[in-house]
Amino acid sequence: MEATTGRRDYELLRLLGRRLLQLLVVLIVVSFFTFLLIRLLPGDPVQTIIPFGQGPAFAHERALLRSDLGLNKGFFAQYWDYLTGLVQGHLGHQYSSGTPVSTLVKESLPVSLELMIYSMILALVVAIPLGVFGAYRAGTRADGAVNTTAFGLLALPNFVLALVLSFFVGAKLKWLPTGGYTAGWLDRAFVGDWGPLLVILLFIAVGVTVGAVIGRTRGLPGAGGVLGGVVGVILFMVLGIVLFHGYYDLWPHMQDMLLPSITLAAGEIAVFQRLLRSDMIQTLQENFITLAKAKGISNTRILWRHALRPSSLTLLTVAGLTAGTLIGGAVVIEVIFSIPGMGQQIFEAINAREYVALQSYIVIIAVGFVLLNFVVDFLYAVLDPRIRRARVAA
Amino acid sequence: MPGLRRSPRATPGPGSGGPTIRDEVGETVHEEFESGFSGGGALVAEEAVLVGDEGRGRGPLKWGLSFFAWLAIGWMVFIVIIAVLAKIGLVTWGDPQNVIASCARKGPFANEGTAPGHLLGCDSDGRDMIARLALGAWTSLLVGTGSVALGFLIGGTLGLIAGYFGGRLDSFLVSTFNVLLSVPGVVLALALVAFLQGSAQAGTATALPDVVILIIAIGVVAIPLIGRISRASALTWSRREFVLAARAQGAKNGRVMWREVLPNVLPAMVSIALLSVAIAIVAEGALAILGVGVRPPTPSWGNMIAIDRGELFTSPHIVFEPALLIFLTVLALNYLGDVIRAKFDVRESAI
Repeated sequence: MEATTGRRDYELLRLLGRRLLQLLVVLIVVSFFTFLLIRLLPGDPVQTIIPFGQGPAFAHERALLRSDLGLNKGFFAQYWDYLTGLVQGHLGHQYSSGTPVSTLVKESLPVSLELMIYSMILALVVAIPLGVFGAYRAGTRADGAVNTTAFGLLALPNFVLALVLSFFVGAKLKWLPTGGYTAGWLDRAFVGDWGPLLVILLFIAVGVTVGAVIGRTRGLPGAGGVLGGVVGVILFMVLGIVLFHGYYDLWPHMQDMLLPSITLAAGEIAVFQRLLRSDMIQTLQENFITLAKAKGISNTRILWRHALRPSSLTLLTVAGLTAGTLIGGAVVIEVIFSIPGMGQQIFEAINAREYVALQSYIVIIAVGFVLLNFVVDFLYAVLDPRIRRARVAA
Repeated sequence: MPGLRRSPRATPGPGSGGPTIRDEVGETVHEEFESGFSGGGALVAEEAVLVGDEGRGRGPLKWGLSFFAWLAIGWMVFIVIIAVLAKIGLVTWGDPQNVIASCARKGPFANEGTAPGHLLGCDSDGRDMIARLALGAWTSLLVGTGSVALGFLIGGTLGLIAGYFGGRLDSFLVSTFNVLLSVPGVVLALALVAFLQGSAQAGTATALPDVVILIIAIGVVAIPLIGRISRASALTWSRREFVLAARAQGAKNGRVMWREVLPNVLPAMVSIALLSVAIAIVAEGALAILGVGVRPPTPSWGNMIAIDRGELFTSPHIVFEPALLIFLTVLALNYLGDVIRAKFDVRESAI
């Protein structure tokens, strides 16, 4: 078996290489197009920074500033400067205040990540049992009721749900705040120069390891890689909460995040439940399930340990894509609930015409999206050896 | 073992999400369908449903549609009629811009009480909600169908070309789609609207109407999504024997794509189109809340919510009436999309 293991590692390495290459391409293409788009925009940053004043003294000032900002160079030279800066973590400065964009990212990225983690956990924890139940009792009245609800949720735009929740739960029942944010566990981790990088690496490491371990050893009930990922992320969260518990108030933080998380989770629950249900119905018709039944294994065990893992591949992909979108895609929800995350930053940057900041945000989000897909692909390969071979061959 | 049935084939109706039965793939339909992709969302839906079922000829129940499907069709027809009438001004529900100060912020469930003579109340400026909702329907539907049409025109064509030719062109287009997809849709649309409005303000470009700007922004976001789906569909159809036969007879690529592949791809795409219109209507609302939607005084469902979001806790009707209309319209479109998908068997995973 020694040779097989060696080959498997090699295949995973190739997968890793392909993904890194893709990351590079996305980084270059996305940064190039945002750069191009922003250069195409009318308006001169120099005029924005020094808006008033005429005469040679001001003209001289402006010329100095122009060369300081590198704006007197050619297009590709400017792009090269920008790209090399980006790789080194220089994201530029806000025109208006001069604040480095990296500072703003450090403040807002953890907030969005927290929101993403909470809503994904909530969505998966609710959707997986519902999906399994729907497949197990397919066609019954209870299944129909769950499906109808999911269908309704799917049609409910998330901003409508946000308004409904903040009106009824927030304003009428006064159970939860209708907006605002209290710093949480992840914000602490993003302090310092290397904090963000460490957090992201730790995040990936914990997610992949736990997903892989649980996916392979089948030590826990529910060997699905999705559950593995969820457990990994929860562990990561608990780690953060324990490490930083002295620095913030957990309860106000959770109160502030609950409504936005529920809002974002609602739509995902519907999507995930439908996906898992239909995949699982197909799995339950496979021969190995009949064999398991013939062996007298209990229903619960068949469902959670035999059927869930092969059924969770589509769910895993979609969950990964959704998580990637949520890094900056929760703009509307963040604005409605006044959550100072990446979405809020993007919103402000667009309204204030802060194009340098905007292009950095877009690049960060695109890179984050590809990174998350990388984790998902990795889990995918761990979950199913056949896919691993096919993907590498392709 | 009561639970684990060997073949739990639930009826593949909408909402069930069950396994779709892969039997007849709309081959018989494609002749009748060639002219089917022209009108607005609801019209397409209706036509598609009609054509689809007559093509299959299913027994005495001529159209084989459930009560809910009829309800959804009815709702869409109702909304479209109201929108068109409000736009051309044939039947009016009052002037959407007429300010009645005494009516401001009043309406059902509002803190200030109901407004007699205005069934759905008035907005914060005292303009009648019914009149604004009716005209807002026009704006929202226009943005929804317009952007999907744009997405189909470009994305659908690119997807068709990619799927038909394959090879390097295919991998280039697919990777382009993937790069576009790595930026969240809301963010991309937001940036595009800001860009287009910014160019207009600086006077370097001719000022486009807001509706056109939104159609472009949402349409561009839709391009890679629609492109990928139509590529997948075109890929399978392009490998079929009749395509080979057409080519063997010496038909040029353009003709094969237009006459053989496209008519087979379209039926499946109708369901995608309906779902996309629903998504585009929601996107319009989201962009309006972010302050880059259609600018007042033109009402749209989205900007009605956006303008009076501050009144949510005192006059909830102003926000919830357009929100409810968006929800019902999206529900109807999703439902019809599902019905059609069940008939034409587009795999759920493709969406």
